[in-house]
Amino acid sequence: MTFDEFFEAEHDPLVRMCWAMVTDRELARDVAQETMCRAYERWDRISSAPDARPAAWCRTVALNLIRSDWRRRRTASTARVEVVSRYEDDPGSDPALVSALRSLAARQREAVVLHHLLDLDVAACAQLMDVSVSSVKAHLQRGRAHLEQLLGDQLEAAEA
Amino acid sequence: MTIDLNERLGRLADEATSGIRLDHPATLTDIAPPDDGDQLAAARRRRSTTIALAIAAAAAVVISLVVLAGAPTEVRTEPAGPVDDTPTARATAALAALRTTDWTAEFEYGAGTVSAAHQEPDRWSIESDDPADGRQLSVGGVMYDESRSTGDGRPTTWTSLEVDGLPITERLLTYLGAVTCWSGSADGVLNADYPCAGSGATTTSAGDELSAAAPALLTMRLDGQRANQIVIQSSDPEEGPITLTFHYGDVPPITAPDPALVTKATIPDPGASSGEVTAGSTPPDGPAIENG
Repeated sequence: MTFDEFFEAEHDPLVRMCWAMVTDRELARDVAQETMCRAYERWDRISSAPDARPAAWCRTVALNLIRSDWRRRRTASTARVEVVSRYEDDPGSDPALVSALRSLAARQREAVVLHHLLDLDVAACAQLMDVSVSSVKAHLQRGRAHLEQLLGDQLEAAEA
Repeated sequence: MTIDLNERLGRLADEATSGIRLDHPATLTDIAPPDDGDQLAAARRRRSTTIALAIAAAAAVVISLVVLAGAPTEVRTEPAGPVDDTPTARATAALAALRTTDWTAEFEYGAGTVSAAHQEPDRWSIESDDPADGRQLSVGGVMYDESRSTGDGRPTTWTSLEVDGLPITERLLTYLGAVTCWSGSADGVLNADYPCAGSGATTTSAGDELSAAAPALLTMRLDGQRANQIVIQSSDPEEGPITLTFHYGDVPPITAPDPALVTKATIPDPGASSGEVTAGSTPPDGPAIENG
């Protein structure tokens, strides 16, 4: 696969994942752009290995960038509300879900986004999050329970 | 009412990201094309940046050690030569890094997550996404008190009851002592830049924290850049020290410190309170994937 093919194939999924993690269009775009640039610079290496998984590599990099940004802002400010407000964006047509997503703990949000938005099974989620499968299931369970509480709906517990 | 979260989330993401189009990296002038020559140039750039950061980190370590609490701290720069890669030396360097500002570390106990973050020279904050765990939170023998609880699902923040954060540093030190490859950056965050892989084992006397019922897998993450999976091989305090094995596999890498830039400070013997390293590093067990 050439980088151009990869770029076209992974463009939308990467942007969607980044947005769901930060719910901020501009920040999502910045993270996704930085990720693609890093992938481009290292393309030979990340695409030529026998077990090369450039898409997974990009997701890992994007998640690391987002986590680093969260932590940098969190440690830079003692007022959590300022940190949270940084990640606000136009809630669009489903403000309840946007608000619920924002209220999830970071790891729960990662699990929910990877599993329910990217359709990754829990094993793949565990690999990306670098936690055990049982840990992913726990994060998913807590995340869905929290969403259910906020949304007032019953979420389908379809789990790979 | 039952809703399909996949569909609803997907619809929302589609709507929110409509119109976003990333630039192809090849069209950006400051991005090096992926050919050999330019990759070398890019690598040189990254190396220069890392060296600069390491120099700044070394300076930050020295400054922070001198300033911290006015304690009688002796600081000296290690002469150039072969790097002292003993567990004690690694632990010493790790503690020096932890005494700088603005670092975070995250621990995951099974389903729970506990993260520690430096806030001030003598104060650390602890966060847990599991209030039940958090109320019992003890790190390195130090009890942590709840200082803020949002009650809306967000992580709860805990602050040390003790002004001196050394106990938690010693606990972190126990884990970091077995890490073979890492580096500090200008802001004191342990960073990952170059591939590095390996594995090792260490023994800690953390029996009071990790009971026999504790999950068998502990994950440590440093500023989101690196995760070490630590398998608890023996978690029964009655049987003696717990053996923790560090695995380095398909995870973002940690950089080996440049020997010429290692700064060493005189600190309390880490083995006195946090256990004895019983096995050093072993040959890499697989290729590491470079983190971006």
